[in-house]
Amino acid sequence: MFINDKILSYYLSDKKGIYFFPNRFARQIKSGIFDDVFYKKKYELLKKNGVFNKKEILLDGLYSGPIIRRALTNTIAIDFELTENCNLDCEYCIFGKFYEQIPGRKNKSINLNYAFKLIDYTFNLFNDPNENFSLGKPIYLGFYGGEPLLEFKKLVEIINYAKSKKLNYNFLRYSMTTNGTLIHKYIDYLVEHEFKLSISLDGNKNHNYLRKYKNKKECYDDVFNNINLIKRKYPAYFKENVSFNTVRHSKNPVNEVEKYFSENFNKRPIFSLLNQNRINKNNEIEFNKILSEPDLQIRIKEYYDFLKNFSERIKPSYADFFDGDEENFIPTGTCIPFSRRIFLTADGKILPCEKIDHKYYLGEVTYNGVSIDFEEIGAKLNKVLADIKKSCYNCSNLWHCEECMFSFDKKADKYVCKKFTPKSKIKEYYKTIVENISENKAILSKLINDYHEI
Amino acid sequence: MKSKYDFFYFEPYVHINYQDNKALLYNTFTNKQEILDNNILLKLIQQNIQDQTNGFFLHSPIEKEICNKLRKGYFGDIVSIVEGETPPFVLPTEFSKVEKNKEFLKTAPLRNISENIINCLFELDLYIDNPYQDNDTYNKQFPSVYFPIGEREKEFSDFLFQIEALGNSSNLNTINIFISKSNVENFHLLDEFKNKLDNNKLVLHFNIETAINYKQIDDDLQKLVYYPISIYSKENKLGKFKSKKVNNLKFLFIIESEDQISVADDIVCKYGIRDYDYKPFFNGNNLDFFEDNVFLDEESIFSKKINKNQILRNREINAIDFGKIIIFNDGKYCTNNLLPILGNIKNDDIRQMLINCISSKNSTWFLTRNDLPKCKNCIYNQLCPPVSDYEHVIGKFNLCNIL
Repeated sequence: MFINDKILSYYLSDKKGIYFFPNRFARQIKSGIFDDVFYKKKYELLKKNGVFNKKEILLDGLYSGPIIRRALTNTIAIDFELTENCNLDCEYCIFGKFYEQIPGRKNKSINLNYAFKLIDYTFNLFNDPNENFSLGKPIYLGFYGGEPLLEFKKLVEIINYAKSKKLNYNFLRYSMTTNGTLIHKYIDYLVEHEFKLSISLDGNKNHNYLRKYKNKKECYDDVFNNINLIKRKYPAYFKENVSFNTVRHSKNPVNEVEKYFSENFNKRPIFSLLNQNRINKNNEIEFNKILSEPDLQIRIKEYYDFLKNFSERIKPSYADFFDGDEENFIPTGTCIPFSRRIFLTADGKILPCEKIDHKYYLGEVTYNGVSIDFEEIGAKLNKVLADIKKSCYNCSNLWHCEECMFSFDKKADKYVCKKFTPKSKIKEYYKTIVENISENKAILSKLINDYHEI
Repeated sequence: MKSKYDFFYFEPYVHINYQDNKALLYNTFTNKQEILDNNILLKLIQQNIQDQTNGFFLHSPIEKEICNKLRKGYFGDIVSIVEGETPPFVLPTEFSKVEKNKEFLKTAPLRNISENIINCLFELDLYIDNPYQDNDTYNKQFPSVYFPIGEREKEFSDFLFQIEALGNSSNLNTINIFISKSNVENFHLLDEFKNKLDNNKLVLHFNIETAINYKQIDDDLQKLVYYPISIYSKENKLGKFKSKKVNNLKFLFIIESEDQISVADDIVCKYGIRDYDYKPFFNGNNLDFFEDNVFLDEESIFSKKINKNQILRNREINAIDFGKIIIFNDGKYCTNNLLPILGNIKNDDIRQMLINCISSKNSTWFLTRNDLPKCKNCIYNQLCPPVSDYEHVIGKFNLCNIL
């Protein structure tokens, strides 16, 4: 694919690699008419070295019951939605006014027996010597909400129950995402159990104005005091185990927020963007006011992804230096269900992760026990694959897709990808990226020297 | 009217290595090299490396002349830029990055380490017998050639489960089983391996003597049979062996001199052997043979095209040893059997083993030519093959005739 800029044309090779061509050379390649011998020879050299080769597309990979079962046997975390209830009423909460309401969400809290049943079920898998190849690897029990600390007693009971069960090849660790308002009550326990604690905070008091209690009082002071309490009382724990997540909105520019966290806590927060799915049309104008303009620090991830996807110079791991086998490629960015976590909702539904709409649950826990049909999950995903395969073949974003199949809509009994990207659209997008990198040298320097995942 | 200036940039498939007032430019597409020693251009290149940019304006006639010559060799191209216009974005030729790199793997939260490190495991070498004593140079180079000291299967069963877990790693593609003792009929552990590990990944290594005594050589598994010419050249070992019809078998003739190459050639010819290779053996007295046949010179470095990925890989890791773990029958493990052990599988879980392979100074996973004083400043150091076993054995870390 050619991206034309003022001085150079950028050729994004299917075989990977960004090539830089003077515009007159690019014109000759595109037209196939070479008016100078040098460029004709150069074109032949590039061609001989595979620059213009098309990548063979084999989207024949399939999910299967045993693969999914093995993924669960070797998962990283069992996550529990302890409660749907929260003591905050943040303006941008996905259960708040800006989003279409999810039916059936009624401040439920987890049924302990269901949590215990899931522990029994998963531990049984973890202890399977023929399937567990994650020897010595920790299994995380993760706690989510609402606000999980509202159900602290249940959390303790789940941990005690899990600790009473035998893990032959793994060991337990704990993690939690919290709004930070109740930490002062439970910090000793959290420290004793070496919880990996992720605290939601959008920056200083001004930045954090959207995070409020139900009585509309801002929560910043309480959270700030609690963080300092941990820092003071348990400095080593704070350094090792506490992290922050920040929702980027219109009033908390990344550089200011990073400065705040660096100066106050010597940490770098993890940024996330406001969810733009399921927006309530009645409040869309108001929502757009809090939506952030993409700033360099956020957009830099797009630039980085561009370089990573096309330059062949950013390797996810050392293994990527060795030629991989791309047969049986499964399109989209969907993980093998349960390979990262299994998520139990407060109402007993089983999901492959906390980000997925509850309507896509893959199993459930009931009075009778855990019910997960691995074969059925595989068949379900293969049906989605069969439906979308054609559009994946034609999508410009095929090799770099990050879409999860669980976000796909169904139309006339067929699944469709909302993010199908025709060539013209992606070209325009890449053109903007190339222009911006060309115009602002700081971007490339930041990408090369100083980029960290946002 | 605004002036126009010529701007030169290097192609992404060009490798630049700047050392001591000269720079190697290697075109990975044409397999041609240029050594640059013009001071002005060297300064510009050095500046590019420092700023992590690619390209510079051409001012003097000599700069233009040299860069035009480079352009003709497809090392780069020249574009005109109007005064005041910003030069275009061109990725630095030497830019590369590994996201989950050594530092990340050492410091990432526990949760991330295991899943990422396990993907680094490519090869498992299992030494069923204690293959050698410290002064046994022969078996150090070829662990299944000689008859060893030690008891087979001694304690291997104790950690078979860990072997199985390692064997299931997603990127693991080879499990080499080195059997040294000739009495292979009592090798019951092989059945265990066959039951528990992916048979397509198993490769059996043994010497010709063992092969002869092996009554029922497993037909399905890949097999490498070592044939040390200096030991067996006068005996008709192959005559005895050829009566067996065995599939999936490759011969490795171990040679110490030019003469032995001829002997091996004769054997290959006489018995119509199709699948074979030669492996030089350093016996302590045949440095000349290595200098003539193994050592590199400029011509041999460029005898085959080296692609950009290989060059970047050479900078980061030792592609021969990376991803390999050798496990002895007493549980000790290392990444190269010529270097000290890193730990014992009985004491370390898989995660700890892999962390040791990443971070121990005795691990060879990251031993590159940049770590070796002699190679460090050589302009060819990223084009040369990775540091090899021969270098460890000979005790000379650059088997080349250049330095």
